[in-house]
Amino acid sequence: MSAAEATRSFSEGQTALASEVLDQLIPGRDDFPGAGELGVAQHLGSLAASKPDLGALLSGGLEAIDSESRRTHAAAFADLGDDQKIEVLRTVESRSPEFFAMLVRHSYAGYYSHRRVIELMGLEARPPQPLGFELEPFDPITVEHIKERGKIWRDA
Amino acid sequence: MGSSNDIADVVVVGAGASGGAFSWRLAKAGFDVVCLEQGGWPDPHDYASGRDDWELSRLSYMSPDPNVRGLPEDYPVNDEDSPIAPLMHNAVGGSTIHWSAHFPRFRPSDFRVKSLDGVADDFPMTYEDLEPFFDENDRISGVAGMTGDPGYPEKSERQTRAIPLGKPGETIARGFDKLGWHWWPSDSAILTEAYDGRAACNNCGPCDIGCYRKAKASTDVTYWPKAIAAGARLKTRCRVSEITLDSDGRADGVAYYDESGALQRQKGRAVVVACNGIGTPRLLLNSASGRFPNGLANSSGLVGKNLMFHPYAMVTGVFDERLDGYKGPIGCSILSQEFYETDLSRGFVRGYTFQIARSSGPVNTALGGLGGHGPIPWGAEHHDVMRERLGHTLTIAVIGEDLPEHHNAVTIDDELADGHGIPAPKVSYTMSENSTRMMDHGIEKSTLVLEAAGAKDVLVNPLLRPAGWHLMGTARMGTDPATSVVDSEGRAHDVDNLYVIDGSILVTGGAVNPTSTIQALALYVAERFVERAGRRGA
Repeated sequence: MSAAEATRSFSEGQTALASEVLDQLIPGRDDFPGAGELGVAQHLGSLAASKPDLGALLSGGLEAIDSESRRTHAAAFADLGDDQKIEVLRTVESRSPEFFAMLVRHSYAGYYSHRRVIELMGLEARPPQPLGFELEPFDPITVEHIKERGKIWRDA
Repeated sequence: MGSSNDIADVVVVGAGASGGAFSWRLAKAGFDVVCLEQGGWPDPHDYASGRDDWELSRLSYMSPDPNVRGLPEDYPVNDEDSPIAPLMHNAVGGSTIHWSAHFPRFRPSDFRVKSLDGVADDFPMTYEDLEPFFDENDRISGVAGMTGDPGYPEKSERQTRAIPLGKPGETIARGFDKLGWHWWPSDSAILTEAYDGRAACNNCGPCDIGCYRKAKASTDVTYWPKAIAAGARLKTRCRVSEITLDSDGRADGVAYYDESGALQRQKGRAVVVACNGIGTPRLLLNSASGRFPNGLANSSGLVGKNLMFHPYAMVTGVFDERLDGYKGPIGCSILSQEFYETDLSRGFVRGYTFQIARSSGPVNTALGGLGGHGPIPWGAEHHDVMRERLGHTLTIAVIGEDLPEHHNAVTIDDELADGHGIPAPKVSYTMSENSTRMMDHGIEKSTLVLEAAGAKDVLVNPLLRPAGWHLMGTARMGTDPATSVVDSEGRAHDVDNLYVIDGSILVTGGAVNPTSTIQALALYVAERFVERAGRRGA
């Protein structure tokens, strides 16, 4: 799916709100970008476009975050302080656990499949194949003492 | 419905672990075998392990949960009444495509639990009866391992040397050694050296999303090329809706939807069901007729009953040192069977295996790791927890023997159906008190061994929900038609040319991954079939 198609599922406002939320879920720290800053909202938008049920859940949840923010603080989520943002998210998490679990799941998936994050974690930013990994072959000597213990299975 | 004059000797339904083995043996013996598979042929080089977004595939099209995948070849399963979600894959190779290939055999005592422990029932054969078929299955599959395990009668030489332990295996082995407990390099259906035209494993890690190198013995790369070379005909994207009967009540073939969606017939002189412990009772129950109003081959009322999973408790150790568990086959390194055999002083009958799993990539780690411990916290502490866990964990899977219980069952759901409108299965399952005590014991002992190995923190998941890999017992074997669905040769008591060969026929489930035993049984049933027909394969 192209970026243009992905953004179609989230409005500009939803994308901006999702980015604010994402920066609370996975905040920036040291060299690690926040999830919003990294653009994980695009990943969520892409999913929402490809799976209508998930899209409806995410859109409804974002709306609930916005409503809760305005209800308790009379302000848009983006204009709240960090503590207030966390308080709003904790409230929505307890009231809408299915949405929040889905949000966390796909936010983490989007963040930790990003090449930049993988490199920051000290891993090679490449798929497991075709290179695989080198490991030392098994050394049979390591089980000699177990053989000596003798049979532990039951006659039947 | 389309009709055909093509009458096969044998129609096999399902091209997975057992269907592949059975079809190969019969084709080799000269039978005309037609196998119908609702999925397609996988292309190993198309597996996600060769792509940057490989971890995301587990959340969608390569999830082991058919309800998550929701592909056209999948059927939904109502699992609302089960704490364990059934897992399966629909393709040539079946669930061996996503399977971790941990390949232990049942032990001798697993075939005799009634005689030894007074519970459940015995199998109508022994370990010794199956041993030649275990060996043959190992030879076709290619097994990495090492002889000499005191947990088993001596086995034949393994095809390739044991899987590398890596740091997770070496670390936990030190824990077992400190406690003086059994461990052994796992028999793994994964090649560590080139064998039979297939390449060696290069330790890429995620066997569960399909093996790119064909080093893992999924049956699309083991049995099926041999079966087809021997003359078996494999029809893919053909979904069987019903087993059909002649006027005498014998099976005369199947009705199926072909790839275009047209309803077709495949006639056969015998029908062999190999659809797994959920798909098989679904098909038998959906094949009810005037003659068999409660489902085909169900005069005992046991089709779909006695469903066994293996409950999995997952215990993960977090270590200070890097273990790099994403390197090496995800589910294979070592096992321990210290608590396998019955010791009633532990508070339960039968026992369990410790299967040592490694770890996986950052997405899996962030979402709770192989132990299913739930997503790591969001917010301020997120990065700290992620840093502590990524590459620093190993997981002990406690696999307990789940005894058969009548109320654990596969039935037909009142509303749910697949893409062809065929009624879907519903699973109802509760874990027994015996299994709960067994899991508690396993968690306590896993914690001990992880601490002995130097874990600084231990995470416990008492019952992994996405753990329904092993689907067993729903059309069990036995000599008495009142208490079993098929006889000792896999033949339905009620329909003498209808066979079941998958995990459904297991009488009890042992406390190990069952594929090796399921395939050995399929070969055993095939041998009896060939003998009865008076033919001998080359």
